[in-house]
Amino acid sequence: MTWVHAPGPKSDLRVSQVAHREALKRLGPLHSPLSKVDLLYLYRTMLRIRAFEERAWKAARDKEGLPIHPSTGHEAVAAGVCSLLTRRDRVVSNHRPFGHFIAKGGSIEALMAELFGKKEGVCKGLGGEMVLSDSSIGYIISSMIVGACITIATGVGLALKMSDSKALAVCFFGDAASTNGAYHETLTMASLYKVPVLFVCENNSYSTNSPSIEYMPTEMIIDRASGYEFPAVVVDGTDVIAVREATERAIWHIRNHGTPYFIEMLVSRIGPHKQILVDSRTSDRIRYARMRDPLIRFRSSLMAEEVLNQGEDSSIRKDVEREVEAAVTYARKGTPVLPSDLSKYIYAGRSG
Amino acid sequence: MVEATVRTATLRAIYESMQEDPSIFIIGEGSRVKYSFDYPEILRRFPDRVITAPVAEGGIVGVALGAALEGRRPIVDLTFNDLSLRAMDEIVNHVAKVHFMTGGKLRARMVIKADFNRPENAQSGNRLESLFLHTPGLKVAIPSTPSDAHYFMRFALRGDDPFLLYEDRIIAMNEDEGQLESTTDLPFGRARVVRRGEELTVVSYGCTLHFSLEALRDVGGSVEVIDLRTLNPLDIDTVSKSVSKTGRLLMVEPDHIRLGVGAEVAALVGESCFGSLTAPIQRIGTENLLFPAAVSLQGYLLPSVAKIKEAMLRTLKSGGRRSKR
Repeated sequence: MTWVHAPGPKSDLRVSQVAHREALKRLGPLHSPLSKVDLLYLYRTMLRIRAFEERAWKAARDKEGLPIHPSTGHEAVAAGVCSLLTRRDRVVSNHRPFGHFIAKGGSIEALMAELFGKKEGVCKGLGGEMVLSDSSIGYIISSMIVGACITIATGVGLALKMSDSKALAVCFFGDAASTNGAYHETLTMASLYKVPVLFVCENNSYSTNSPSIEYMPTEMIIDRASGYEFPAVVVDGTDVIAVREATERAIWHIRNHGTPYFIEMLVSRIGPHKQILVDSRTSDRIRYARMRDPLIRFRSSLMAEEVLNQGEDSSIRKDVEREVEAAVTYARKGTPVLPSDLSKYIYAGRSG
Repeated sequence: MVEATVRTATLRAIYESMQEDPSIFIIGEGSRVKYSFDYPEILRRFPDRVITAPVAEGGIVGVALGAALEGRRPIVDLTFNDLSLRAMDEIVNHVAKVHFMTGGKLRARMVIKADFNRPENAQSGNRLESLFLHTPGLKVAIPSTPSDAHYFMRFALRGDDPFLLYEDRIIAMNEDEGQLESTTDLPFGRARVVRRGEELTVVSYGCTLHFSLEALRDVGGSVEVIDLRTLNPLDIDTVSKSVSKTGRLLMVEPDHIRLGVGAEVAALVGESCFGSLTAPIQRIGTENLLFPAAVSLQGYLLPSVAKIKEAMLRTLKSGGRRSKR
């Protein structure tokens, strides 16, 4: 295997961005045509994420579920990227994970049950609103600790490479994670070992309530993603079609060149950092975020292009609302986590 | 299997396990060079399974964890344990917790291997094992003998949990371990009674266990010596049984004494066999000072053979006769 960086011709280890551009030219247009079914799948996925989070928000307000880190405004990234992944492809996510989980095929019922602290939850009620895991859909884990997902995803990629798997791993993280040591440490390792990992940085330009200008030396992450010898691009993360196109190129590159790939997705967070936290952004900033709402933008495009009409739209919405309401019923009926469950999973093996 | 030293026994266990399990790999700073010196057979036989990592301790542990979640069994070589502090989040918040947080779905089957340097200065040679005992989810062991070193590594590489295995460099190259060899293999998690006695129980592990046995040569009296072997799990039953018999406990530990293993053992013994104690529990360990760099003071803070001997004599003399119940 070549990931062991045994001495050899340096050019072997490098896939420059120039080479990448040339390869793209050779290949011609990469994006496969999007049928009406594909487009509506994307739309429905985004709607499901939005509807789930709105309902979870209400449940938390009613003291039924945990307060959440809403990803309102980020839905196009989750839907666009995950629509191109197979079930075998892996996802590692962060403290704002619902979009990624739902778009990867996760159960909305199990997700709601997790928020309600029930044994039927994704992680038996022990993970909470941030730590989710479901290997049956390739969703490895999401972690609350900012930056940690980058290291874990790189390790997942390393293991995939070791087993000659065709699958790849996608790592979703935010702008603030790029200031953590884990980011530099692991991008270095990802490049060195040429792991099949797509790094997706959702840059919403806020770390909790601090604007990026206050805590980052560069507003764009790509300025700090370009020195690792793998391609890095910037995309409007509120445009689901753009997200999908960029992801398609990235996946092609990873599969054909065997290096990581970096996409910075520019998004605007519409909701607060966390449900129970005060949103200290100015009303202008919040309005600006709403104006970039990926769902509204995509819906109007679909309608303008006559892919979707009012009737279809309201029927999809009703469907989605029914699904989410059913999840609440499921979660309410679940078995609560008991104190006796707390000692069950500290260790997997005997003696402890 | 009797190996010459703790170090070679550990390496041999790694080599044997790698032969059996193709999912095991080694990752660490300078690992390829290190293992080609220390145990060339590993690199010769498995050239693709020893990975040199950049100087990025947190990144290394996180990457290893990711690989473990994907079905691999990484051995993270953190070189010396002072560097583990740069990986605290990965070890404490992730490696230790993924199994719990995912309701048992994920297993962090991995070994983190770190050495205790001889104390050389304030930043090198700190033990720090107590830090990792404060978090449920990790298994922590410090072998005192080559056979334990071999067994622990073999056991850890077959286990389902994350293991922190420490190599105490102060004793890792000792060759004369005959007095510590035991014919019966004790399971992981059980302490070993190294020497039987009736008047005092000495509990220790790692290098200070060796120092304690050395100190005993000049101490009269009937002293029972226990090697804790594993710190998590902590086998308090074996200790309590012994203290119930002897009535006296001296805890000898290499780590800084405050909130250390000795404090935990003392508290547990106090809870479980207070009525059997005939003398106050004594602890001796590294003083609550930082390791000096001055050559003249090196080794000064660790409990020396002389200090341990003095503590043994003091404890043996203390207290009264135990009232027979």
